[in-house]
Amino acid sequence: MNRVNIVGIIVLIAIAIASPIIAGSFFAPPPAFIGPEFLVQIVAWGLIIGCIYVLLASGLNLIFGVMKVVNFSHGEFMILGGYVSYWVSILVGLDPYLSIFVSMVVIGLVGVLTERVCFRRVLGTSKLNEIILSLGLIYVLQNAMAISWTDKPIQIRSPFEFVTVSFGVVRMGLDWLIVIGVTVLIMAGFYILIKRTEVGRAMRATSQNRSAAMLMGINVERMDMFSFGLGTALAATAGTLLAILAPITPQAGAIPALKAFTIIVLGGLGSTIGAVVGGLVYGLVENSTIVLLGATWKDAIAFAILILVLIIRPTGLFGEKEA
Amino acid sequence: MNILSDLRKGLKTPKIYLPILLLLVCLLIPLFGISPYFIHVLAVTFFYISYSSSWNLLAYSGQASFGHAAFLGIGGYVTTIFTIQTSIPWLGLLLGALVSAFAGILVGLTCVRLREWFLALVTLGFSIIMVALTIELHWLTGGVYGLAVPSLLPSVNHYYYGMLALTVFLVFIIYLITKSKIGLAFVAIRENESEAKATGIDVTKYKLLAFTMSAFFAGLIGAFYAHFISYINYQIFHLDYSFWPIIISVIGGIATIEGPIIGSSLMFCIIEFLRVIRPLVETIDPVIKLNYPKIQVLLMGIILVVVVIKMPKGISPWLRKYLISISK
Repeated sequence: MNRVNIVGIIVLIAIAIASPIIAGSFFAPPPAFIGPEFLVQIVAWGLIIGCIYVLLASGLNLIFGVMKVVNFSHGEFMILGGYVSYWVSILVGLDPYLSIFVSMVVIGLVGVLTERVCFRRVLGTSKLNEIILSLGLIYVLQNAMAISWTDKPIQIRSPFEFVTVSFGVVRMGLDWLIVIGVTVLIMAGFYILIKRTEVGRAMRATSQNRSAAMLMGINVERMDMFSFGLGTALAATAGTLLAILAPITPQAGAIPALKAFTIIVLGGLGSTIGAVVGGLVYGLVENSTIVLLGATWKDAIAFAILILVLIIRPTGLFGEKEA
Repeated sequence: MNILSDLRKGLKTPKIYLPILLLLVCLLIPLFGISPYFIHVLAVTFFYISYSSSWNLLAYSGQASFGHAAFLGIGGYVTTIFTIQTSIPWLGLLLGALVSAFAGILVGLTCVRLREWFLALVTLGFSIIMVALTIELHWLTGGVYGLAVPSLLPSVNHYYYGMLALTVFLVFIIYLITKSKIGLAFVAIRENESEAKATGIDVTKYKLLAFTMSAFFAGLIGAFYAHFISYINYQIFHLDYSFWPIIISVIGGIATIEGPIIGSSLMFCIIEFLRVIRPLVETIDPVIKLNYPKIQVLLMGIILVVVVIKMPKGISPWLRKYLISISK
């Protein structure tokens, strides 16, 4: 990690802390009930939501790094993953946390298929085609899900639903801790796969220089397929965890995917660490915004920060110089 | 003026007669005593033609907005609030368009330096911020409940002709723009930005101009649409309103004049066809009966994906080739 990255991360954290406070002091007086316990709760819940964003953003980031494609339909894969886990846990009776792995495999295969059938055909034709293709996939997946499983919100029943753990003043659901644990585990596995294995090295090579990787004998098209599958599998994990924490509907995926893309723009396109830190910081920002400004601003704050950053730096916080 | 001579030349070829014929048919339709529902649907189709054309003008300069609903909604809200406060009719349309154009300049200033993904995200984000602003400024905009929009015209037929006039006017203006020197600059920027810069085109100026004009037209349409549907709330900024012009333009033919017309007509045909066969299909399976509107959207999504993969330039070049082959 070089110095620019460290400075960038500090800037991100500063934004995280400052933005809700500044915005809050402008728009509305902070609610009087904020005590230390409440503050800790906000931070805890922010980190948990941040975990979902970390998984989502990392998958999106991987796909972007290797294929240079922005998959706007990433959120739909996430929701699909949630539904797969839901049905596996209901029909087979598998523990929801174990059904994550089933869901990862299934959605990974769906992702591989999508890459092979759709994205490969338009890869390199024009950026706009790729964006519009993923837009079409949003509509296809959303409505296919809504037709199959109706619009009714579903939530995965966790076996630890009513178990709480208390740390001094703070009481947390056991599920919250497990969600954090699962995220850490999955991300660690992902990190090892990318940094320590042969496939990971080939993927990194493809993302750095496609033609040079091809010359070194790497099958870049297979890498595309693999990275897309891995990215969507991470999204499936995010979807399952989200469905455990809160109810999901077929339409719930579009906005989180856009926010995840905002996160990787801020954290640096293609930077693995940036996606993790960005995701956590964004979870905190969003959650404190909800408390300080009200739920209306929940979606808007991400884009407000994004627009501010892009006005100052058109290539993103850590983007390359060339535009 | 060379456009007039173009027109005169065009009159001698059969190319010009197709739009004139279409226009005549559209003018005569309400005289045949067709049901008000059908007139309403046709007026909505015209709305999509003009709205998609305004989006397409921006795409003509190589920039794809993913939050065009922001401009639509600004136009709608400004005209609504103005008409309610002052009860002066018609002036609100122009005011809405102007405010929308101003918003277009602001967004454009941010966007001209950005690459495709960032541009998509910033424009989309702007429309989402507009949702929050509308709900927050409830003393002005009615918050979540929205506002009832005062009526401009007495009947559906009047609105039909109004929408038709607006659409023809906008499509014609956009046609003139694309045929002018400005349009040439847009094409140059779209094809290769650095080469355009090298030939001395002020890229920033023209990109900003495209944004402003597109936002102006979208605001104008949004203002008239608000009067037409007589009710406005924050749903006007919904992602669907941003994405439909993209879907329509891409299916019809991105960065062409006829693209939005073909795309909207196709959408109209599909939705009407599905509505007609509905009683027949619904007997097959209760799932179909329950999810009929979703199946329509699913079908449009599949068509979009297939069009992007199989013919990235849309239906228009294919149709043109076909028309040429039958005219020979």
